Amino acid sequence: MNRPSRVASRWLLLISLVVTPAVADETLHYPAAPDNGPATSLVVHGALDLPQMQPLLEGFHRQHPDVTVRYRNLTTLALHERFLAAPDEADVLLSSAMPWQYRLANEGHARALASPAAQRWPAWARWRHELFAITFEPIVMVVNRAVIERFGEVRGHADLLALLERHAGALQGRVVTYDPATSGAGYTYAIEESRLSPRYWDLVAALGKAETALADTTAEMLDGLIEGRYLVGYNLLGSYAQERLANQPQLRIVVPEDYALVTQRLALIPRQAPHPQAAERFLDYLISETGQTVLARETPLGAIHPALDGPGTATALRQARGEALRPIAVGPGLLATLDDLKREALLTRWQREFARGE
Amino acid sequence: MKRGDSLYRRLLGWLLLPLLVLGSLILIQAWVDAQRTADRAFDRLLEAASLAIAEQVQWQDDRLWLDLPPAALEMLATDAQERVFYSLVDRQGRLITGNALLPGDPRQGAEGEDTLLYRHIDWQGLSLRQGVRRTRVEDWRVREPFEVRVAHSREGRDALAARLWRANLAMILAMAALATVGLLLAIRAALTPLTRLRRAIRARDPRTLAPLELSLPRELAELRDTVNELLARMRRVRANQERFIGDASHQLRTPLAGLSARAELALRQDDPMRWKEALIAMQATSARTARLAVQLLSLTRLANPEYRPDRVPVELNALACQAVRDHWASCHRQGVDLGVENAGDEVWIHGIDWLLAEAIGNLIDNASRYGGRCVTVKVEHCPPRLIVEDDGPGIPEPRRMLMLRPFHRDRDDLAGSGLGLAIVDGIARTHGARLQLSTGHDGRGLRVVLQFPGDTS
Amino acid sequence: MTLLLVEDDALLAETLVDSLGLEGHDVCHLADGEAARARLAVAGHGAELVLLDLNLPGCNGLAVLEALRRHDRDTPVLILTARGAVEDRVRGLDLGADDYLAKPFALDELEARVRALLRRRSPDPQIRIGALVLDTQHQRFTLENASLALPPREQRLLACLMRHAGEPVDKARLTEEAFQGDAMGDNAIEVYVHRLRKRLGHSGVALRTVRGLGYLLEEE
Repeated sequence: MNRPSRVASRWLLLISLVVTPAVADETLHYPAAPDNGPATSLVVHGALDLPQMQPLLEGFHRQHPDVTVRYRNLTTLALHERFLAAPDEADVLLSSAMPWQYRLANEGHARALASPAAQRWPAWARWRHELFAITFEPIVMVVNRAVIERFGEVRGHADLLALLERHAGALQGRVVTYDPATSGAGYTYAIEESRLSPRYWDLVAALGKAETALADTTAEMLDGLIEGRYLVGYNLLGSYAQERLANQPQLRIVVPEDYALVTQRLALIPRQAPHPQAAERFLDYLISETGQTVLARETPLGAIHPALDGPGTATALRQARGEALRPIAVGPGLLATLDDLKREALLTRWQREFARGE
Repeated sequence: MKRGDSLYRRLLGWLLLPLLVLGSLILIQAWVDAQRTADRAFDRLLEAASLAIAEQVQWQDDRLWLDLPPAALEMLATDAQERVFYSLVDRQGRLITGNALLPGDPRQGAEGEDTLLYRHIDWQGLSLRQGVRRTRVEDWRVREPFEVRVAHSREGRDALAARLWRANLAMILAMAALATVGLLLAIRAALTPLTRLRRAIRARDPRTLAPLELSLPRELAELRDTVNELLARMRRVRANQERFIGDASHQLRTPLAGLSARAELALRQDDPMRWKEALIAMQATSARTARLAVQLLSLTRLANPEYRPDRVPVELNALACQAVRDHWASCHRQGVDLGVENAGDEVWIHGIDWLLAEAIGNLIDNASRYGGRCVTVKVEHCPPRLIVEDDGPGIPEPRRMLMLRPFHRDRDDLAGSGLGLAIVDGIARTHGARLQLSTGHDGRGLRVVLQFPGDTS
Repeated sequence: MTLLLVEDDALLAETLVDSLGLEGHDVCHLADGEAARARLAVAGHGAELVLLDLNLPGCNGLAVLEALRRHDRDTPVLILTARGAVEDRVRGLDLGADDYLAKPFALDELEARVRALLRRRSPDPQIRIGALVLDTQHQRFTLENASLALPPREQRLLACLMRHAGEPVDKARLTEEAFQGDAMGDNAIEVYVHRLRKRLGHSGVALRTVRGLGYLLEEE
């Protein structure tokens, strides 16, 4: 190996040590600039993928160069359990598992944020200044153009139901959705929908009738849709879909017109956070216009900040969809989602309805 | 007058203090009430939530089963975004489902009775209000009791209680302010009679003793009446004094007129014998007048209530001896045998020595003037007594009391002033002693006894 | 003897000057308190006795007394006053007056007191009471110019009475004087008094009994 490539590989190794894209325990590390006085640390645990987190962290680091940021990407389950095992490890917890974040906050594990930005944050997007929703991600349907061309537009759940009932045969095995039994997100959407829509169970039956495939993650569903195994995807995470289907013109993302669930990532500062001031600064950043603008423009996650307008913001989405948007409420209703007996009851019913269709 | 001890301020203090205490009590009551009202309002939520949950409890597959309605939990969180906790517990106290194991109803309920308990609990460092519903699932085979325990934190109800209390506070403070203003005005109005009284007294001529004529409220009226009584007494005293002075000046004028006339008459004559006669007569009169003047002075001094000399221990034997010493020469000149008879031991009393000396002097003078040839001053003890006894004609019993009145003279008494016994009576009263007139020994003459109180200590 | 009379009432002053003059005294009369004070404040005032009225115009009588007493403790002062209050009497005596006489007084009384004060002041080698004379230096008694021989006890008794002429002397004192500690009966003194009375006879000197107080010797 010649000298430049040796040097390059050494640098690569160094960089890889610093920016390690290991799947099991992904971390991002932004050391503090040395000439900015005493450095503080910040440890962020989140269930956001690194590409989505990066712009945010960079933006924060630019604003606060004296903070050494370390971000750890974990699954929502791992995040939750790691926190319970070591509540003084992380400074900020970001997760899309709304029920679990809510439970932690409800039981008093979160620290209240008293900054002016926190006071101004809209009441529907926070809980008690302890829990803050920072993204706005609608749950969408993905439809292959072929289906549209053949069977007509699918604009909402009613259309989907009609489609499945009429053309179940044609779509046999070509529809995919979450398995509520195995996917936390899928279960959450199911329970919310069952409350929302009186015709949900009809939809479940129709899905069963069409022998819908049940997936564990959005990634799986997207893979199948891109590959063409599936023609219709139901209840996908809009942000993820947007990212992956950016250059898949044959697949159309449909935000349902009749009603559309919206999920939000929730951030909290643990009570025993090792660097509370740094944590507060970070959370402040996330709910500031700057942070939210980064979210809107550089990520597909969507911003909540009421001052922001334009694509990628809740405001714009509301203007487009208005009444149809149904954000999952950050409230005690989420505790029902965690209830074991409730889960048993719902899954029993879900499976019964699903099977009925077949 | 102590500075700052104002009736106005006292009244104000005494009235404001209870007002303050009352106000505080009302505030406390209002706070308790606000808490209770807020609790009642918010407990409704606990009631409704527990009911909503209880209605979804079923008996299924040989166990308790709950299809938790999310609405039940959502109604427990108001705008204040309370923390919410729930537990479903079976008859043994085992948790069927819930996000926390809340404490249960400690009371022993009667079987078959649905109960609902509200209380405050401190759970895991949180301050919560809890509702515990005891009820049962009724199936046609099974009657299974269970408990639904719901709880939420207190932010909402505390905010409501504070709001209610603040509204009350504003009202109560406003009323207190009004009451205080009213109080100040009322006290000022109530005290006006005092101002009127003060002004009425100031407006008086300082020399007048006329009664205060002023309409006053009852309490001040008593004061006014007391003052008027005092003024009436002073008027009586003044009338007395004026009458006395009138009598006295009359008494003095008469002999002075006599002197003047006699001198005038004598000057018209040339005979030295006549002159000598006139001078003898005049000398007697002027001596008498002089004595009268002295006695008037004594009597005035005795009658003056402001003049109260201190009583000191006086030994009566020594006093009597001194009196006899002082008067012996003049008595001897008049041919009167004056002597003293002491008591065996010393006789001490509390008195004013010169007053007693004057009393003895007056008695000796009387005795020698009114026919006594032998006058004796005696001292006795047990009880302490000063006695002056003579062997003159004495005073018949019915007239004895009359002799004590000033200016009263027996019809046979031309040379006397009528004051002597009155003076002695006054001196006796000053000493708290009793004056007794009786017949001398052997049934003749006069015996005047001054009996002092107490023993000879 | 020069007597100084300080009295503002004209009638009374005139009377006193005359009566005291008749006794053989030279009386100097001052009617004004200030003048009196000026005179008495310095030595050499020449008065053998001062008769002082307290109610004076110009200067209070007590002030005059004070002025005198500041340098002269010997000259006797007799206070005359119309004010009968005992405080005045006490104050006067405290300030150094020798005697006190309240107005109105009998002239005889005044004369007797003057005599007593003068006697005290210059003890005459001779005590004269009427026709009875005692030569104190030689202890010789003369009655009506005739020598009077007395036994020692009677002498002592008579001498004592003469020294206190006009005042009653109590029996106990006489007993002591006369018998000088010899044990005698209670009534022994009466016997001696009786003897003295007999000697005095009708000489114009009387030995009188004052019941309860004792005896006194005086001129009739």
